[in-house]
Amino acid sequence: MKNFLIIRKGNISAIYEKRSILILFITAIICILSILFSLSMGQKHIPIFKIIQVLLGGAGSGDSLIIHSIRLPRTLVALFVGTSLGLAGAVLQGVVKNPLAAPNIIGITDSGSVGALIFLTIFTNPKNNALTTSIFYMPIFAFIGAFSAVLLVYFLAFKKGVTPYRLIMIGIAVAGAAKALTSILILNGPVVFIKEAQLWITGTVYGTNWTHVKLLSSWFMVLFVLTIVFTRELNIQNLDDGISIGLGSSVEKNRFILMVLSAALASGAVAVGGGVSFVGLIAPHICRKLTNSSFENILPLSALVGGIIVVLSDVAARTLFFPLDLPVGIFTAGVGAPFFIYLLIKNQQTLRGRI
Amino acid sequence: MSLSSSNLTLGYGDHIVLEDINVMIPKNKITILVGSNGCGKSTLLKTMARLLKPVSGKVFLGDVSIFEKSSKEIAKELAILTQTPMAPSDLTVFNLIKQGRYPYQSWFSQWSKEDEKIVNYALEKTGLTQIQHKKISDLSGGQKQRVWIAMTLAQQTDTILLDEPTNHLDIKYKIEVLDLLKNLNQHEQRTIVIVLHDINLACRYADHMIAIKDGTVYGEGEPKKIVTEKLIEDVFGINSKIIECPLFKTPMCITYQNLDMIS
Repeated sequence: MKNFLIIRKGNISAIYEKRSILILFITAIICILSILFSLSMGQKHIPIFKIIQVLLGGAGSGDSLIIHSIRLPRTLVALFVGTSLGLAGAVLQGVVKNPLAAPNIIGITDSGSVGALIFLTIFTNPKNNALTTSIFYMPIFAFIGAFSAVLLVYFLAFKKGVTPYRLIMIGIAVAGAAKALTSILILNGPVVFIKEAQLWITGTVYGTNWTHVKLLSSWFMVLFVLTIVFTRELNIQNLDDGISIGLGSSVEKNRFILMVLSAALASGAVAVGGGVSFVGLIAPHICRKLTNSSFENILPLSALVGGIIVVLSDVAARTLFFPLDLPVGIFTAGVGAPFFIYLLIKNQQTLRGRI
Repeated sequence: MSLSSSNLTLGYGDHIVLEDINVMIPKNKITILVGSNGCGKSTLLKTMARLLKPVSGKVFLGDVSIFEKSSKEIAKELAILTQTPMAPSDLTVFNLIKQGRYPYQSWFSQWSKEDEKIVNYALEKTGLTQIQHKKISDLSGGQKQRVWIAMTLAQQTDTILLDEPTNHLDIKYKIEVLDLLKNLNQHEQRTIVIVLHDINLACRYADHMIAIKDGTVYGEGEPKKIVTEKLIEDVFGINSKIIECPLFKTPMCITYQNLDMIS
């Protein structure tokens, strides 16, 4: 038991691998460094010690204004988009027992796009192409789109219970249908919103503010706690259904709850950040490489790694091609896709995945 | 608590696999289900472990129907090891066996002293203590199967059901696994039910044998009493000569299709 940290107090007990705790700790530090780095980079470089001074409530200045009103909210939105997607991906991979699953594969992202485009279609005034309501309501539509897609996938896949295989197949079909709807909406919509729509579909955290931060962070925190409570069930879901039932788990009920949790996490991220891709797929993968497939290790780690990926991608997106401020989704996909191919080639064994 | 079925009819959709099955699994004994491929022996085993719902009829654990009892409570009395189960290959032996404690845990009680004690016992009993931190992907076929058996042991049940636990194993590991089960039966009085393909191994290890043929129980009882040349021909569709095993004094069948082929 020397490899494990065991906590026991009355009826409460828990066990963690010491190595995983260390890795989690190191990742948390990297995450904080990424945030500081993100706050420091931009048109005006702000030294790290100055940032810390401002964050600790130091004297107000021009730097303080840049940090508080522009960089900090944007960085935090990037962070929580990443943590939500990373965690959503990890949960989904457990539920469908397949390390290649991700929120965008089962149509969450594409259906979010449909929701966003429906908003743009309804609320754009055809005479002057201006929005007739606040853009702030767009996330609500995106959320409804994304979330209803998952419920649709679940109920279409239901046939005396849901098998992971059917979930993926129906998910891919729903994603395809959503893509088609997106194209129809873009082609028939006013020309101006092609750019707006394309930006959203790629995924961007440009122009996000403190309201976004508050909404997304509280949404994430609540779901994170719920997910952690279900860690044990996720470990069981990852085994064969026969074994899970034999152990006394309510496999169907837990599968539904976990699907909803994953969908709610991803929908929150999609609503604010748009179609940021690949994070939900690669963050859990990196964590499997760092530790192993036990969900008590993967869950918190996937959230942190997802956050780091999006924060750093956003730094790249807004600084590398300055003065162009590119959508962050380009970089998560641009870095994520090659990295994913590398993982697949290098790691044949995990790809086979199961014994 | 003993396991039994009453008027059990099993099938998939309109297709009936087994009809009107009434079996009683004797307590503290090894029961082995035999029959040809597709005869429904695995279906029967899975239904007795509540993995499948019967078309009609009931399965009783003690005097309560298993479909009316909480699944978690059943998991404390009855464990099942399905055929060639899958798990993520990067889990360690310890990680997987630990999950056998699921029915005793809750989200706040995840590693009680009792959990630790029982998991250590399961590791020791299956000879895995030394390699408990190895990844499952690094184990041999026989070791993997012992890990799964250890997981059922962690469940701490009186009754253990196993669906073809020796499938795909080399003969050495087949014997190793069956000896382990025999040991659990003899030293800890566990009730063990196995679906097994190999009729000779079935004769050697079974206290009680249930032979299934054409959707019904063809015969049941002690192998010495029920295994005859006629049973082998009717159940497996092959000729045979039954002799007594020189080592274990159990029936041993030498099967053939056509004697002329050899002489």
